[in-house]
Amino acid sequence: MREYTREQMAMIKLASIEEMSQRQRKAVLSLTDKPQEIFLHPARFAEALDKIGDSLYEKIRDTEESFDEERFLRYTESINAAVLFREDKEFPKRLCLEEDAPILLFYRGNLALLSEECFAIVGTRAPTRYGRDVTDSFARALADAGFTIVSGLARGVDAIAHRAALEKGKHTIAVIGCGVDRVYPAENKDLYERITQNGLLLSEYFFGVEPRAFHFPERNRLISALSEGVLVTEAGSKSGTMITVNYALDQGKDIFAVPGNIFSDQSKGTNEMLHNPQCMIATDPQDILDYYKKEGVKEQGEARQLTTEEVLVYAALQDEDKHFEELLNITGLSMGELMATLTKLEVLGVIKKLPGNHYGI
Amino acid sequence: MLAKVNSFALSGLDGYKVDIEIDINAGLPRVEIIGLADTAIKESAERVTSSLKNSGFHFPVKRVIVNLAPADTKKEGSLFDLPIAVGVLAASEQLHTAAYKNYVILGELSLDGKLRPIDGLMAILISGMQQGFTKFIIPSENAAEASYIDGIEAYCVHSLKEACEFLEGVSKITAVEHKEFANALCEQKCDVDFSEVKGQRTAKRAMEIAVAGGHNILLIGPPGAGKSMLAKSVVGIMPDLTFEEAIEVTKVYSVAGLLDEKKGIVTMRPFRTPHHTATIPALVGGGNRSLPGEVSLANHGVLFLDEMPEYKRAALETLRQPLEDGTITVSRVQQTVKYPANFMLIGSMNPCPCGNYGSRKQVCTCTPQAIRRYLNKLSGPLLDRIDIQVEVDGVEYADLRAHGEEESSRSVKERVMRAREIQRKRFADGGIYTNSDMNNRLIKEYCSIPAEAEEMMESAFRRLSLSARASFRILKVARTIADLEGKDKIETAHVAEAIQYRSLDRKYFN
Repeated sequence: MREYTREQMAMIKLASIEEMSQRQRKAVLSLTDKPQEIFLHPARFAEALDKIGDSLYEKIRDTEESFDEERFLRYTESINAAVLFREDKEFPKRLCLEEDAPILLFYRGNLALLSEECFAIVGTRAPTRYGRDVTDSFARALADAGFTIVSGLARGVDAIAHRAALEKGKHTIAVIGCGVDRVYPAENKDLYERITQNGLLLSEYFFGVEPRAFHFPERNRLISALSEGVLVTEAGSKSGTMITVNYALDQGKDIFAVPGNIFSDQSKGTNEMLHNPQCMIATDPQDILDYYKKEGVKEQGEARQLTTEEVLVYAALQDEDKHFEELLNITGLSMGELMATLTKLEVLGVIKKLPGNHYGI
Repeated sequence: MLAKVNSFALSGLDGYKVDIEIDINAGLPRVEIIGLADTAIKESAERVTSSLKNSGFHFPVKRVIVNLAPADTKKEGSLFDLPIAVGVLAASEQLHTAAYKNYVILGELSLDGKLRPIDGLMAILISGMQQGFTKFIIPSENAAEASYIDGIEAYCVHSLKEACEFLEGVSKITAVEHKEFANALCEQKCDVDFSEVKGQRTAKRAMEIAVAGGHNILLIGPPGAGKSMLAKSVVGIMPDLTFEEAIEVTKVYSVAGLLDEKKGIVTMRPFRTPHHTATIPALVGGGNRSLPGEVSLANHGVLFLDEMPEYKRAALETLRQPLEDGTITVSRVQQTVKYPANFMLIGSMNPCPCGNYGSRKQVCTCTPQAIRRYLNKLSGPLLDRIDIQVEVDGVEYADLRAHGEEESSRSVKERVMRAREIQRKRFADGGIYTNSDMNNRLIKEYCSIPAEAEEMMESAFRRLSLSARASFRILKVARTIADLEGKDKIETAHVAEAIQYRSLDRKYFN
């Protein structure tokens, strides 16, 4: 079990006060070198505390009474979590941001990942099929080339990026906007479990803290700060992704965007980014790998000669997605033959079945 | 004097003999009916009194006791009117014969002495026959029902008076003539012919496979896609009812009081469409009379649940037992009865709450959570019992539909019958009839697939994220596809096609 110094414990206690903003915590900590003093003799700080925020003095006194260190340690141990402080050697230098470096980080999983080369992939929570495909293929290629994929475990692009990395057997880091013992959104539970096993889960927030709207912009700064660069695969113009992009710009990170359909709302954000001279265009994962002078890994698929029927179907799908009936008319195959051919191609990963009896490449 | 008349009562679909004993004693004039009779039977006293008077007899001005034996089972219905009346006449020596002892007497009386039809006659006649009774006196309106049962003599009477004259030998009545079931079968016709459903080739193919192998099927498609029409047309491609099946169906309909009295037997496979507000008793049976529910009325036919996720979750879950066993046990305070419930389930649903998910023309406004919540209304164990899940095309694909002739129900039905015949031979001594009923052992025995197909299935599981439990379903469906083609061995193409019928397992639906 990891042990914490008195100073560290005091900082953890401070983090446990949910009503307090990060700014207030920093302001309180700036009052003294020994944070435990704040809890031991709150009266000394009373005047200053009240200046900083609403009845902070009260909250600190309440916490001193209610916070059970034993229980905290037991719980931390039981969920295999721990707290990382700035003075720890594992604490990445790149997180020591000028103004708003985190005071501490709660984590679960493999801390060694922080010393690896990280790359962030972010985007909309409601990606189109295009956005899904782009995210998946870029995440796979970048993970294969040795990057640890960083994202926010949100719906949509985040989850797809994490999954792609894990499926490649690579590592991934999730920075989340709630306590590390909470799964949000619930549908990512399996992903959450896999990341706690094979990846790293980071959060600035105390155990059990709910995901609040303002947490997400805060954690976005950490996503970009952790990474060498940030890739936006698909995002609308008012997407929260743009907050990450702005942080990345401030932090001087490399920013890549994948262009999208100019008529699609979900691509407005990424397309606008391309107007910014600081953003780079990425139309192939290799573009990013070239920039970092990395070697891409060729996808190794078993080469197999397609049969005549398979070629027919593949050719029919080349320009655009087609409905099953259209394919029947174009290829002239029988129902059974076409179904069988489609399944074989699908299993080979050459085509995809889409909702509504559509097929596409 | 004491009189004893034979009659029958129903428990579920089984009849049991009831002895009606009537004794007339000195005392204040009143009728007392004992032996756990329900209200309808208690009121029979009034009907009997009036109909005796209106038939030219007189009701004894004494104390009349009617006992229904066995005395410890609850009896219901109005079918004891006639036997009670006959018993009273015999006990008061107005009926000058003991011939009534040779008959089982059933019937409801109206106040003028005419007979009215009763429910559940078919079930009673069959049970009676099994217990060695061959002569019955029944209301004439139930004649058709009796005509299909060979080996009994059913005498139809119109009124109490006619019954008495018959018993006394004053007038002669011939027993109901036996009718052949095959003749009745010819008259049937389905509302929707398969050829009336235009396009929808995937869905129609899936329907054919489902019927051929007895598989349950789920149709997924936007509103107005024609899911209900497709479901209705399915009865026309199902094999004809056999006589045994028809009798079983008729028994249920007769007990539920839904039988068409003129026809007397059900010749069409039932197609039941309970509304989605249906309660659990309405679906599986119950109520204070433990009547059969929709699942039993759909026995040997189709239970169509339109907009399946709209049904109450608890109601859907009750379908699990009948889907597994083909029977349903209804337990009530008074009795526990078992009804048959061997039906093909056809469910339909939208792909999402707004119905436009996957459409190229309409925009789906549902959030991913809303879609998941919608899909989650169908529980895993329930979906597990639905072998085929297929997408039905929206109206916007009308122009894609082939202009050629659509195949008629008749020719599809022929293929289905051939496939069923193969299955019947295969499972001749297995106690099952269709591929869908195969258990794991039988699947291992009859569904071996080539190595190539094995490989494909394995990569299909990985690539298409099919759930593990899908594998047995795929094998069963592949077996049916092979049977439809008359192939002895399952080929890779059959497995490949079967994989296409697992829409809900697919990633894009989550």
